[in-house]
Amino acid sequence: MNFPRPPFLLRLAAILVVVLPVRAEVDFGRDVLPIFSARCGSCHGGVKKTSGFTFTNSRTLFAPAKSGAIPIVPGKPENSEVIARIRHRDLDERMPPEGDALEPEEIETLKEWIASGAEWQEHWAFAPRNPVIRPRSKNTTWPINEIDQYVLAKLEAAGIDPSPEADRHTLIRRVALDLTGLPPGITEVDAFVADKSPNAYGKIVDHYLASPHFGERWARHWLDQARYADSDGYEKDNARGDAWVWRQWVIDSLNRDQPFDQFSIEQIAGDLIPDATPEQHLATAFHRQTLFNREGGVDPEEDRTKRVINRATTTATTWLGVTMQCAQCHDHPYDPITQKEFYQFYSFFNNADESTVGVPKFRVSDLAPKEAALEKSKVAARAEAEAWVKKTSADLAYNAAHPSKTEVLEVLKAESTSGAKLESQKDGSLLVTGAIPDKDVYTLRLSVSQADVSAIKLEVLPDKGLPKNGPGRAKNGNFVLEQILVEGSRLNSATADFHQQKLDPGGAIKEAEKTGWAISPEMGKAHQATFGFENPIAKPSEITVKLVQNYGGNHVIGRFRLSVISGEQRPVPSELRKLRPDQFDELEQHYFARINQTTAALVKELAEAKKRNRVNARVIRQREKSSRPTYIFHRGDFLQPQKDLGAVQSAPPALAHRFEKENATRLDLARWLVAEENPLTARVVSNVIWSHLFGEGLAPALDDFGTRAPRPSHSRLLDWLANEFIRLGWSRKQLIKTIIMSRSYRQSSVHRPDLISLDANNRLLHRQNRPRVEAEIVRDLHLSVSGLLSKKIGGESVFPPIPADVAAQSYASSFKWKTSSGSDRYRRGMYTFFKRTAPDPNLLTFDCPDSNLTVISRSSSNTPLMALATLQNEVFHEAAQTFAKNLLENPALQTDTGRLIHAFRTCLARFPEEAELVTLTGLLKDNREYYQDDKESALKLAPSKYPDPGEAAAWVATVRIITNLDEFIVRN
Amino acid sequence: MHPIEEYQQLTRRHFLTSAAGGIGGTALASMLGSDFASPMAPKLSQFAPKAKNCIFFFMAGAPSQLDLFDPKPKLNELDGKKMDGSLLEGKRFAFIKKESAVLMGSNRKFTQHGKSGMWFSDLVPNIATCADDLCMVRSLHTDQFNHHPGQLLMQTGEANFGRPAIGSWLTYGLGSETQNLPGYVVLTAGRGSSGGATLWQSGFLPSVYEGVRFRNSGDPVLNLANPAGLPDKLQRRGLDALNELNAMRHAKMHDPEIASRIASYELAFRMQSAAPELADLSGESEATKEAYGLNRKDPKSGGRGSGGGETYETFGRNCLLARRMVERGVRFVNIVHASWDHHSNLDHELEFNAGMSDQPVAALIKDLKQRGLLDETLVVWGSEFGRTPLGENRPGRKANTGRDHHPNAFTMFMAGGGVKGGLTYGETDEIGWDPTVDPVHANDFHATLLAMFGLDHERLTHRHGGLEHRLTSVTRKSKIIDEWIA
Repeated sequence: MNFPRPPFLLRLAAILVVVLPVRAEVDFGRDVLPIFSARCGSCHGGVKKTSGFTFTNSRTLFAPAKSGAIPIVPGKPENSEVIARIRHRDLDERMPPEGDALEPEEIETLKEWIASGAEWQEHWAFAPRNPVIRPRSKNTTWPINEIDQYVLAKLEAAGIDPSPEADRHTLIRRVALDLTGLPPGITEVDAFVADKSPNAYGKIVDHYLASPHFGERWARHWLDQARYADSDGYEKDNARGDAWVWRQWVIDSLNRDQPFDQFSIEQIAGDLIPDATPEQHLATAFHRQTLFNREGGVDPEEDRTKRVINRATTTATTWLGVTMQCAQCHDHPYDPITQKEFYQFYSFFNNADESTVGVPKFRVSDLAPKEAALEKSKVAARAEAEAWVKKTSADLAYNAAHPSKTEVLEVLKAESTSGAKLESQKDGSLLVTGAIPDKDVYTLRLSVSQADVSAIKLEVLPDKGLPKNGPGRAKNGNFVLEQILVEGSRLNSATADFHQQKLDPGGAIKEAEKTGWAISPEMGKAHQATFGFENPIAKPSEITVKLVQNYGGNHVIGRFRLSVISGEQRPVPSELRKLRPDQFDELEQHYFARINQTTAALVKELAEAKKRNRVNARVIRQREKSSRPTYIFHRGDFLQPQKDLGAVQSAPPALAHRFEKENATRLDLARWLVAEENPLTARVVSNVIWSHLFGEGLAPALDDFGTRAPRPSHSRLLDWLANEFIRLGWSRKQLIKTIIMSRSYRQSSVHRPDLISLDANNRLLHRQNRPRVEAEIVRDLHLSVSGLLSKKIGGESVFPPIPADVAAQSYASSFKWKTSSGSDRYRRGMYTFFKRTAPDPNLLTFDCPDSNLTVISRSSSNTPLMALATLQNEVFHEAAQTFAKNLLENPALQTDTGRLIHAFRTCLARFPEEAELVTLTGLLKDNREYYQDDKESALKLAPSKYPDPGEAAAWVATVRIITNLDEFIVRN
Repeated sequence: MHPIEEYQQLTRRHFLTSAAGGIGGTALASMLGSDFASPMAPKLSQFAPKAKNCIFFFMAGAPSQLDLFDPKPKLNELDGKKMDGSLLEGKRFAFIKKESAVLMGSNRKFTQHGKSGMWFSDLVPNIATCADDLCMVRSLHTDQFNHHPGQLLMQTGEANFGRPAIGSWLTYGLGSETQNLPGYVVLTAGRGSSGGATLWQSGFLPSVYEGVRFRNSGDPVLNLANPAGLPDKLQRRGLDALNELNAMRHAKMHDPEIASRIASYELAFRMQSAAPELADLSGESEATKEAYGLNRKDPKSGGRGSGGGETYETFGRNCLLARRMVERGVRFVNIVHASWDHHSNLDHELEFNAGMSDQPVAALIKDLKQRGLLDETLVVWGSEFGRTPLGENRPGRKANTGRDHHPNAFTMFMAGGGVKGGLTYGETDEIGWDPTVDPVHANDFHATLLAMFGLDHERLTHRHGGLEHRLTSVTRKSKIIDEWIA
């Protein structure tokens, strides 16, 4: 789009605005609203309209209140009741009625605002996003992208220079940790440092974005919000053996860069998407993560209600950044959410029940190699397949043009070698009676009236007089037809509607013994077999048939009927007989699945793999019958539904954009949440993404965009990010890349003491931050540098070693922690089985959330217990032992200095400085001196088969100090 | 901003300014010597406190107040009779069938003790001798009648997950007098409770305020011992190198968090000697150990509250450890024991549990008193709720031998920390169904407990998810009970 060039003066003004100090005039959102919210909010905020007005609604603010006085008269502070009341000398009249009076500066700000016209704005987070207005910075060379222009404009306004770019060692470690949570290898670091190409940085960003570990890293952030755990919570806290299936779905979703809007819709309402796939059903397990109380005395409806409330409030916090909890008992004290609105929101989830869905354990792409092999052999067999399909199609066409006729044959004579009687029945069949012989042969002479006989059909029939109703005379009703012979003719094809395993009718036209046709376990029912003649018989008039049944064990037929079929039918496999000649796809499928041996084996293998690949997962599914109406609960008590007020209709709160839908479903809600007009979702989510890359959000309260939330440090940048997120098709990878490519992100994280008074908390982003990595990543880093880490992605949760008495703290000490063995002992922290009432202390000590409630920003504490863990805990100590062993066994490392530098760089990417090396060398020397004299201790510290235990121990005692450096667990 | 956070930021800023020019040997020494910016540094209370430390006995599962502290002769008279139906209206039970339920008297013998004439059953003869130091509250009530939600409410103020426990709030508000030991310690005996680790969680407060469990075997604190084969002197040598390296980094990055990290490692090192010293009872006299009942084995008849035959001894040691902890400045000691959930076989089970706790609890109160520590140490004994006067007639039971969960009325007691001794507060009706005089909601108890520590429950808040959270529920008006405070 082209904008006309603004007149010169205006352009000048635009430049001036950013040059002038930020605070030029009173801004409602920035200066006034915080005062109102903090000091007046409990009576005149949100839906609270004491005396008939609230400052969150301009109509009530500028019109006469209940008293008749007008709260705010634009331009006239002296006529505004608000000003009069906050300055009132009579304490009974003065506002606020409780607590201290407003500070003089606060009163001055309000007066200034009114005097300047009292321009009122909707709360920034609920207002539509600003269109892109790019600020202009004086320095035009620094910014690389729009982010930098916003950041730099604010810095320039404050008279601060941005920090220089971090060095390459820091940068690659920063990007690797932010995107994958794993440290870069020394080779990767060296390659990047040496890469002189202009897009060297872009290349590593792309490299880590494409890593499958990206999905793990960012999935874990989402799991915090989803309150993911492997157990029920509450007392018994039963294990949820299937929870990981959904975790895997999240990892996959991130790795394939599923657009965030789709990601959201599937998790909130995947079950309601038309023709939902199993994976879309699985996505709904986001809301299955709620706690479940299985205590004996629990009222199930009460517990269900709790879960629904949690689903509603978690949705509100995660997507809208608003806290709805308060509104379950009463109207929200300061955000515009009524109690009725809470239950309207609740109503979306009130009929979403838990259910089970079968899903592939692994993504279909994991079967790709087998599928490729099949495809390859199909291509190789293309010519044969086409020929076969052509011939079979022709046979089917022929058969259709030459319909067959069947004639039940009249029996002229029937004999049995055993002497059993064969009695003719009304339906033309023969019933065999008399003593049941071990073996038998029936010889039958039959009259035929039809011509061109192509086949003979044998029907075996049930009869009440036979054992188990027949049709055989064996104890279980079975029989074996060893051979069928027609005098003077040869039979060359045989099919049956059913045959016992290994006893198919083909055996009955061979002479071999112990082959033939039998029907177990399908006894008690009629069956038939058809035998084709090698040469059709033109005019038989009479035929003699022998049914040989020498299998033994009474396996002889009890009742049967013989017919002939005339009209030459070409043989086609029985499964295909009903096909039309033009069903080529089906024919081809049959060829590959059954006829061609190579492809048939692969098809079978693939089908079995897919079958094995299924796992059941608990998900959320809409209740189909007897749906529950939603009532407002008096004071949030589920025992007091206010039925007199009627059931409420599902709807989201009115604080964001409009929602116009009758009988709305969760799917409508999901679509509304990610609609482009929604002012909140894109802001909330891009702010969270930003926080994972800067350690802080632009809006500092990640989980609160309500009216009392502090304003973002860079409101327009946040809006730009949100708009950009949508423009990029909600691609998380692309938004992340945009941020990481900015110069703002690449700044050094060195603190600048000279800015302590100007920007102490770095709200203006004059540098990068140095956040400590999360609990899981602390583990990953230690295992990674030691070489122990299993890089397997996804799968079931695992049980790394934890102290035995931790699990014993669970209810009645019933939980047994079965420590994993092999590589599962060394999986990434995100795969550790999370038992809600007895979580792994190594995770909790480093601020891993307890996963009972949604968490958007983790706290980051710095405690002695952390130091004790990384110094002495079994997991970390084992990592140090292996780290030392690997250093000593690395043939490329021959000197102390070489090993120390290697160890240091493995942990921190950068080279140690001279002084650092001196300190480490001194430590190594002292450790070595000690252990050379105390071999016994050495063998305890480094129980490896290394030839010199003293040497191994000295290194263990040294590398454990490197892995305890502050820098090691900090993203610099 | 919370005044405490403001204060912390100020200290940090101060440090940053003074150390901006780089960190030399002296700066490092002074940094390590002080309790620099530790979130656990002692803080002033909001107003003058009565108590400094708290030992909270949490008897998970709900002990029967009707068989321990709240005698009901009328209930004994009505044994086997149905109760007034109107009292049952709208009441919910975990297991009782309302239609056929009958009242169940107590088999215990109650007597009065001390100058105050406080009532105790024959199951707690030792605690009874402390009568004139106790404030017995018989009119407590709560909102929850299932264990885990009830335990969360009593320990964290609301029946929700993700909230800080009482001990977390206290250390958040006041820090701790000791930096060599955790400020909030949890001691357990016997089997795990319904709530497990969620009962000492710090919720939305940083994990530094989480309860740290002292273990009954092995290292008293997790990860306390050096790895096998690493002597203390090499641990010290390693930490010196670590400090040096971290200090170099600090000089370059100027990030105060690095200084905090150095301080944390030093605290960890001190804890490595302080915690074993604390747990080492060899300096205690035999008489003391005997008074606390450390020589006792579990009775052979056993009980569900046992956790492997050494519960009596463990519980006694926990009581003694609790005294040693408050002596050393630990702010909050939580002694958790499960299970008191006596739906059946109540007489036998309660005898086992009471037998375990009666002597050591009394010994602790007397010991604290004798050492002059009781004035500043608040001892609390209680649970998530109480038990019904109705016998539990769960379907399929031949006889009523236990009681169901009862949130309407239950008893807790306190001693020391400025509470009024010899006070029996609140009354329940003649069968112990409802409080009739001075009802106390669990949150009123919380508000009063904080007040004893000089903290206003409405002003000790933490903002999370857009809300100012506090120990007491924001949706009800909690009251401070001045009568409890001497």
